Amino acid sequence: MNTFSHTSFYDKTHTVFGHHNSKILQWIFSIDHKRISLLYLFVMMGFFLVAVCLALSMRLELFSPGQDIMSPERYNQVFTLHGVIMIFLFIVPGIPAALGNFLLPLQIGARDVSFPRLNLLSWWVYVAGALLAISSLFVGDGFADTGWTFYAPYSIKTGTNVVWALGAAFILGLASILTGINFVVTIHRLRAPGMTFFKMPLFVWGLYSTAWIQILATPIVGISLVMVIFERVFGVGFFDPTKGGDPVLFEHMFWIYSHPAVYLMILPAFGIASEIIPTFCRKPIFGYHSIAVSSAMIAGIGYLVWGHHMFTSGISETIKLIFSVLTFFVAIPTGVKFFDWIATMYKASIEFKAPMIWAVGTFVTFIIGGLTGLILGTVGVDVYFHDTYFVVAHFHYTMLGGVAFLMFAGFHYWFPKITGRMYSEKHAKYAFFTVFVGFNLLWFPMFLAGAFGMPRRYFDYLPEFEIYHKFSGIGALIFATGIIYMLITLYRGWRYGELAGPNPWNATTLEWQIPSPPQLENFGTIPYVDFQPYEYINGEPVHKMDLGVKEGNKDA
Amino acid sequence: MELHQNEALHPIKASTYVTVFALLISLTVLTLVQPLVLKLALASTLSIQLGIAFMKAFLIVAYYMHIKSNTPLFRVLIYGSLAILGVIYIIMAIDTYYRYTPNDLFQLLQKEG
Amino acid sequence: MHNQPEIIYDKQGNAHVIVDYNDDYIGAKLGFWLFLFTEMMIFGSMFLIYAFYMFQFSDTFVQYSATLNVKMGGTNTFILLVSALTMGLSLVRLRQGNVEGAKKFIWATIVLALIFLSIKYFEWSAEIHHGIYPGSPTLKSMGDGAVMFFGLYFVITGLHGIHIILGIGAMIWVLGLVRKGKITPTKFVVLENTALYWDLVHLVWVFVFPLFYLIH
Repeated sequence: MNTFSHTSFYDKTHTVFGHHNSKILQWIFSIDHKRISLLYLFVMMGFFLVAVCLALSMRLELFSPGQDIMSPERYNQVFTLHGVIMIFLFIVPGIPAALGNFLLPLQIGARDVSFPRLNLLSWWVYVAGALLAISSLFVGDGFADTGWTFYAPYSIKTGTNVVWALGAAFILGLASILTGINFVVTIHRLRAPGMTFFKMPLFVWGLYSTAWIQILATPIVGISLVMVIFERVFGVGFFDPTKGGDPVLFEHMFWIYSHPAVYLMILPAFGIASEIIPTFCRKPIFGYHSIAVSSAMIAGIGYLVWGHHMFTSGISETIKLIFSVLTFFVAIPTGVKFFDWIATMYKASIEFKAPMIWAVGTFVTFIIGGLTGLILGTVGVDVYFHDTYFVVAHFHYTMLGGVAFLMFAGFHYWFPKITGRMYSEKHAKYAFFTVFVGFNLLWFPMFLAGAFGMPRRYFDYLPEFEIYHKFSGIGALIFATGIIYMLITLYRGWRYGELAGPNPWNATTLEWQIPSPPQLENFGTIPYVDFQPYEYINGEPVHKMDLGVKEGNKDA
Repeated sequence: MELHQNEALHPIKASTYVTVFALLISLTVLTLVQPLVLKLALASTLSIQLGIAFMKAFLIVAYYMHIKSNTPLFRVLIYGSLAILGVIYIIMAIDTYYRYTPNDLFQLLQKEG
Repeated sequence: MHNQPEIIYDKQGNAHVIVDYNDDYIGAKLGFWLFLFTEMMIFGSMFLIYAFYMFQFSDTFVQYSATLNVKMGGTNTFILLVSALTMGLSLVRLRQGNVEGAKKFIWATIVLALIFLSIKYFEWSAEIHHGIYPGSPTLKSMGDGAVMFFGLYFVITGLHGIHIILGIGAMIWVLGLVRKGKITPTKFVVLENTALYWDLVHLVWVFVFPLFYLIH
């Protein structure tokens, strides 16, 4: 990595225990937010690939009717493991802990996060949780078979290793809380002088809203999972109907967190879109304030709508109607964001580089996901669609086609900043189209199958659903190929790409005003920020700064 | 920013602690005495006991935990978080109440219609 | 690292200090408050479970509330009250520059916390001796309401007890830091945060005590 003209964070770092000679120790004990973000990134992407393989094995099992490659019990464990990995190990830490960790200090003009040691601890806690989850595969009856929701009373009764999986989820929740605390304090304390809340980049707004959900909602699910552990170990009985407990209470407690958690995932993703759109439209974003405030609104309303997961669970009719109405309200701030993005693109001379294509592609998939969410939020319709493939398709269109796609958009957008090099634009575009085609082929038939009554989490199906499963299976293969293609493109860019320079996209936010990759402690000079984050005149950034070196040393 | 640093180092006095302690002790005695003096139904007992508890909580947070003398930011965050917790309680209360008096809303609508 | 505060100037020439992330008193306190919020949500959701079952089994809750040992619970309430005072006074002493006085008050708090735990131990053993503990056949025969009431009693007081133990650990750690000179009359945020934590532990008990012992 010595090809760069400056010493980057790849060469020099702070560690928690002083100096280490070993390169590996220098990484895993580093308290530099940039290194921690990469640690998160690699572990997370590793688990993502594992979960994709699990999903492929499920698709293979479902490719034709009857039992093919696994038993029904194994199938239950596989979809549980797929869910647990994707939710707790990939998508919840995903954008905040990996991209957010890297970019938050850079975007607000800070030298690191507020608690660098806590940041490293959070990664170690995350790894511990991941190891606990994985080790439960090899103990006793294997991984939990409850689905990632761990619904009582089945989770109390099943013989599989539910306690281990719950413990892992609890520990991962702790890691997520630590990240959240760190981010809120960083945003409150370490913004560059002059940068008020309404001068922050929109990605930071997304991270801020997310961090609050992490802090205030995660403990609730944490304690409910602990209650299930107590249930199994001590027999307390809170969620056990044979002892007077109420399983629906568990569903409440679970979704009080897990519904805001989907906003926790999507808000920073929206933030990424709000960064990419103005950069490639080369004009100021339309409605900066409304996008910023709508992030906070989504986070706020997100706390009030958890019940729409429980329309068929026996909660009272009154509350169902309230939840349904509140659910529709979430569409308003989300719609505001979409209109703002489209208004920004209107009459702009758009550069369709890879990150922009990913972002625009996401708009298509996310709108399908979001609008089907409104269908599911309607009580009467949901009773019919509940627990069908329609739901599965809906949340994959939002989570995969929204969060993960925008995360990939972010990877492409900030790749030159993180690595200092450029990937092949051509291959990145091909990879996107492969993923996009595969994705739609994989999930769209599931809307139809679900609408015709195909239940989710079933290991087998009636013959009339075979055609949909065939399409999905082929789509899954294309999708996975596209993901591999994308990762290879990025890897080749990292190894052999051309040097990118500090600001290859002509972007305006502070992270582009320092060399790529950034140095230790990021900024030589911290600027006084008395300007908006996205200021363009005639397609050129208004403020061009060189913040990498210390003021006064510029000639040296 | 300099302002903030100075504001943080507000003086704290032992006398404040002792005064608040005396208040807390008297409120605690009140909670212990209440069941002996007044035999009330559950709802009234609960509201008296929780009322006193909230008063004690306010004293602790405001003086022992220095919220009175901190920057307003802390106050805003505390109220915000309490509001979210409160809303969760309210929604759960609506569900719990109407689950044991089912279909209330629809009966009401039928009667009126 | 940066002993002198780093200063930058805006266009009007006004000076602005850049907050040093390695030494940020307000940041440390804000971070700890956020942690306290997570604790608040944890106990908040436990009380939510309590309220849920109290609504369902209110008569049973009243009935079994009368069987709890108010003397022991009341004593513990006073002990925690005093310990919160001693913890606060230790911070006052430290800020006044009286390090030895601060240490004495922390020790007093530790002793009070240990007394709290031993009273709790006797209280629990009496109940367990009567066959009342989660999952016991005696408790099951007492009906669903009793299972919920005592389940909540053991879980919430147990969780609170774990917090007391963690608090004692934190105080011993603080004493070590004072001895090493890492907590001084001008660098006291760790002690202040420990005091905040102890106040939270006290605060939870302020609600636990009436809800379990005094609703009859």
